[in-house]
Amino acid sequence: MRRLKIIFWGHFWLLFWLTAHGANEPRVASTASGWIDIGNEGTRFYDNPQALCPRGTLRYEGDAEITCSNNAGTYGVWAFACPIGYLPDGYPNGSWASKLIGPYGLAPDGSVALGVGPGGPKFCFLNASDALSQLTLSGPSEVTPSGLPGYADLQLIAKVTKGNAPTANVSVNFAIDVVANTGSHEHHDNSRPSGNLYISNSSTDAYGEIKIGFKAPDVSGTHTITATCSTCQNQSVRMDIHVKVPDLLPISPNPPRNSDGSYAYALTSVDKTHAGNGRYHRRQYYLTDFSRKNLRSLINAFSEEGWGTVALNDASLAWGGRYDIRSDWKSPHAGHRDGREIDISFTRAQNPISTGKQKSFYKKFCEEKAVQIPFSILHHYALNPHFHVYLEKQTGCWLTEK
Amino acid sequence: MSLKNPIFTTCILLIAISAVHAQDSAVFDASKNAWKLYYQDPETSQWTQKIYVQQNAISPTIQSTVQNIQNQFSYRYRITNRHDAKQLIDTFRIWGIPIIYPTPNLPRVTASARNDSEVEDKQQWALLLANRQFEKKVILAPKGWSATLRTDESANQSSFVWTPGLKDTDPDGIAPGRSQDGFTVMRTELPGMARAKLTGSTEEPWGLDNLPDTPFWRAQVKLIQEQDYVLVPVMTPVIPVPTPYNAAVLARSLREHVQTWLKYGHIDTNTLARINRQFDVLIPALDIGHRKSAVAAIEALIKECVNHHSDLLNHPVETDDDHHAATPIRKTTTPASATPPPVFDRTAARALIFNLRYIRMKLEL
Repeated sequence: MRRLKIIFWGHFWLLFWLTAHGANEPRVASTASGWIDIGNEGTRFYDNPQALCPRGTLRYEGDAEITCSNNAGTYGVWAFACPIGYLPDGYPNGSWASKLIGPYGLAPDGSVALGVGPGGPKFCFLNASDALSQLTLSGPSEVTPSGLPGYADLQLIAKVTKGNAPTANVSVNFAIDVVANTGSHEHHDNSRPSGNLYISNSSTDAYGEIKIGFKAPDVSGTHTITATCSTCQNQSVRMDIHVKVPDLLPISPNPPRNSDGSYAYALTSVDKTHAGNGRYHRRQYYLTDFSRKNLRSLINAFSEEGWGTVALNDASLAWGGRYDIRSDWKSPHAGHRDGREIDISFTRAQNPISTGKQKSFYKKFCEEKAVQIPFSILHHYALNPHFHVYLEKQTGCWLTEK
Repeated sequence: MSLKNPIFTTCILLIAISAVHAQDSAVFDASKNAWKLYYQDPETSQWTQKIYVQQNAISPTIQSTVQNIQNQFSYRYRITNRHDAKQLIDTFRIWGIPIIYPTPNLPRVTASARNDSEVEDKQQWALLLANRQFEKKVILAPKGWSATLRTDESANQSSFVWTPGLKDTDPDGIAPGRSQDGFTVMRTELPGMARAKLTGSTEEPWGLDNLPDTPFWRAQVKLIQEQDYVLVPVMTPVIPVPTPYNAAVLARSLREHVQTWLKYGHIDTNTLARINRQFDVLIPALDIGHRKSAVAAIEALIKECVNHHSDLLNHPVETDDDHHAATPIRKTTTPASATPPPVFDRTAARALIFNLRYIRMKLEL
């Protein structure tokens, strides 16, 4: 009687154990059409689970647990595998008791040795790639150079996730670099101003995030931000941030002609001084669309007054920002940064206006044209006297009757 | 370190003195009609002193005449800079005109600057040239001067502007004791009143450039600029003739325009009230086609004008070549203690008579 009781309870616990472990209700392991077996020999793919056990009987013990045996009624060798699209728990740093030895050796009973167990992984995580910590870096990819109206630092977010869940307390490091010869500066050296990163924490918070501030320099150019995480599957990610004034357009290099056959304007800032020893700034005639329109009106008005060919010196670089005409990352230009200013030379292009008439010229254009075009014309003493024209930011001669 | 240390104390004193000294200021010197400006140059950060001479030491008078020439009214202006002036007149701008001068048949800009900047550029140039051709037909300048039509869209205002030419042989302006004729506008609008803004020639008209962009300097520049010109009343084309012609609509436009005269000191309250009473008779009479009442109201309005300027009675229709030269008027920003405005400005009376006779002439056709 006592023996019968033992047999009864033995079968009861066996049934309970099988039910609890899903032997009769295979879960993800049996539902997949393809399999991934990750072992010390590397990762292998199979078309179907039976391929893991070509000459034996396959049993599902859990998500990632399979046994394969040539002898019915006995447990063979544990195998550990997950359907394609899944990865075993803890991979690749799981402290499993068993060491997977690959699928092609033979077990002592002749079954295919898919691994040695028990003690292997129990679960398969959905989405093989997400099963490992993933590092991402996101945020706006463009910002105006600092010092311009409306400038604000960018906020970037580095995020570490596993599956779809955020992973806290993951250490991430950051680095920043400026890409050489970007931002219309065809020169590069160690003194080039770079943007700065300021980082709230070195490890991810409860949301798996680290917030990073990016302060742009006043020089345009592309910055590469690199985030690295030694425990993540993708150990580093990069993101480019373009420091630029958006939507600047070129002044046409094909000027129309005046009635006397001369050109309405000439791009004269291509000399050694203005082009950075003649080599480093070759895209310095960029303006906003509105300024470009105003400039045309201005040139037309100049021509009407017999100015002849209007000599255009510096506008803005194609990406805006500081225009270091000496290729030294410094001034002299305080302006010329956002495509709304241009210099007009008194002396280039053989302008026929005498020095004595400069005041007449100034008043004429300030009074007659400032609003209609509109612009503000500034008689400028820096370097050689010239007109510094604000094509949008009007101040003087702006009176209207009240 | 303490204040007993003489070197430290000296340094503190020097810093304190420089801090006191380094302060924005704008001081007017009436004897030189100039401002002494002290400021920190925004580009160099150096404290700088600059003298800015006001551009108002001129003494202008303006004769306005109007004549109908081939279905257009020719407005001519003769400017005199009287002997008491200290500066040449180098800007003559009739401002404050409502925008009523659209350029006809402008070419269209169809290309996008972003997609095809070269084509768009060419189209924009064509537009500019068309605008300029229109301007040349509307506004004419005497020899050695140039003219333009300025449009202040944000203020809904137009201006006619004349300035000296830029050739060395061109004049620098109208010298004291001299006159200049030939400033001309050709338009179909009937005359109304506007103000001419005139300025004098100075060595550095750009003297207010590049001041710091601070509340203090913005206020100072505004103050200086408001005193930096002289205003003279002129007749100018502002009353559109309705197409097709409608006398009542024209009279309403005229009445509306006359209401603006009070603000600019061309008329006083009592005179305007009397004129309005006659308009209140004229407009309904024109509405219902009661010619006799309309003519009576027109005569009453002309009589009101002649009561103030008796010699205006015999001006011919569609021509006003009165030799009256208007003198500077008080600005609206000037304190009321300045020269009081006339009861009814002669130029305004002439403009009103011109329009009333035009309406009467049309009634008689």
